[in-house]
Amino acid sequence: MITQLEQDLADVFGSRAGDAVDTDTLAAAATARGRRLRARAVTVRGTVTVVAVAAVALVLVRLPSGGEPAAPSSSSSSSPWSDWTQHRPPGGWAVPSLPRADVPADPSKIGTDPSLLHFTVDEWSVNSSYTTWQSTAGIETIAFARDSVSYTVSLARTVEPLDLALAQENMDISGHLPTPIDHGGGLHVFTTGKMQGFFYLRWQPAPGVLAQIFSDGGPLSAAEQIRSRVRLDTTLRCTAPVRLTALPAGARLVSCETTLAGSDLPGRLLSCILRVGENTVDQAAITVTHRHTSASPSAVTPLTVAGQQATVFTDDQWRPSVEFADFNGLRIHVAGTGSYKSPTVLSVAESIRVDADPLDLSTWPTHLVP
Amino acid sequence: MTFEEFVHSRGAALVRFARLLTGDEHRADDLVQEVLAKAFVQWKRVSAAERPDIYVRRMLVNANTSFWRRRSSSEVSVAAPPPSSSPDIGAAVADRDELWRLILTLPVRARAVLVLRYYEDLDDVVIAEILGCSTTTVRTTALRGLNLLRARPSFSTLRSSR
Repeated sequence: MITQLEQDLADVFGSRAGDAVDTDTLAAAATARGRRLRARAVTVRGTVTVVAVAAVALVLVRLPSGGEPAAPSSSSSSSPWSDWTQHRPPGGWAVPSLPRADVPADPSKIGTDPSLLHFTVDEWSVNSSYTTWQSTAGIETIAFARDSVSYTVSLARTVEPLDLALAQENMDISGHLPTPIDHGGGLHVFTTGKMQGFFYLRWQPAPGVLAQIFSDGGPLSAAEQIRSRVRLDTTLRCTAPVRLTALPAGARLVSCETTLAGSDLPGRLLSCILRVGENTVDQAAITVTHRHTSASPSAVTPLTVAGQQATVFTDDQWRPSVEFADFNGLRIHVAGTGSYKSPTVLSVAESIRVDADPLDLSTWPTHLVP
Repeated sequence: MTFEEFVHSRGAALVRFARLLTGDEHRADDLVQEVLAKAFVQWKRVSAAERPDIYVRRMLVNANTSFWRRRSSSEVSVAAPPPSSSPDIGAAVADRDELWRLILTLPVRARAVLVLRYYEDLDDVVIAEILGCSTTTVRTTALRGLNLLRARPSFSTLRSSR
């Protein structure tokens, strides 16, 4: 029997649910936002499809950039570049490697320094249409794609960041027990009952280190091959074509993420995202792409920052933002969250320098913050 | 079903659901846009789900939970209730406003369960599917939410004013 309180709840919810909703506007806004998500090539978590990478690359290759492949004159739908992730280049995919760090390999330091990655994935991260390296507190990740399937390999020292990584893929494993399969070494496979084709593997590659492979549809045999290629004897340094000359008080590098293409695109750069701040909430995210990727601030205030023309606006996630449309060939978007309001975001933007050649990975700085 | 068809058929319900989850109309609009944008990017996966609607609502609940987790506080964002227009209905409106304020003080998970149960009128099996938990958890969370409401001092005042 329904109680008075339950009836009151239904009444209050009914009155508070609000007025009619314009679904045309909603669909248009969500689609535009989704397209921007794609265009920013945030591929690290593997949720963006390979087609999204193709969209970014298409923009890159269709616009002139000294000495690079000529822009096709046909429309995007008929362009031979439009589905470049589907067509392996004649020499095969070849994602350039991040520079090796001049520090001894030490898996016990996984997740402790956002400027470093303490593992590699032989062959698969190179023979890929794109590769993303990300290092942040508690977890390091290398994501790549093959045959239109994305794979994300994550290493951590505790299980929580790995669970969180799955949750960010909307793979909430709470309430579901992984189904163990007999591969020895504590290897587990998990396939949701509702979403066939998505799974993760988790194992312990070294004492105190947990590894996880998440795939959005690849064969289990591929994951097994990837697992055998995870190496802990090499330390890589996260790099980007920009550096910061100063940080806000109390701030440090929180996260470094770089995505490079496996095809001979200008500069290979798909995106870099540096996060600097005091914690996971109060921080600024600096997103770097080639200048040709779309920028879409609607209400902007133009000014000069760090000697470059910039715009100040609130982005589609309500974040105070500064954007350089062309900072020595790069588009750079700085956005603040938490206590990082416009003045702090501006100070971060002021400290950005582009000394390197965005098209030449070997010139990119390896020390990104002071 | 295409993404556009999905938004046209389920978008309004999602926005209303989000308004009740967040207690803030602007935040709700933003949350639904954020979730639908993510769904757009991975539409192949979403549309492959047995029930995309449940999948997206689960994304919505998770996004809202993540938002509050990021805020790491019990801050409650509540639009000010409109002033009562008539003395006769003023008391009833005030009671409803007060209950709404109490609802917004509940933990986000408890609020989600109550909204799904008493607004969406879903059974515990479906709620459990959306929240990714067991039906027992749904029942205990609902019970705890109702008890929390009853235990609030202003709830007693609310009841005695009737």
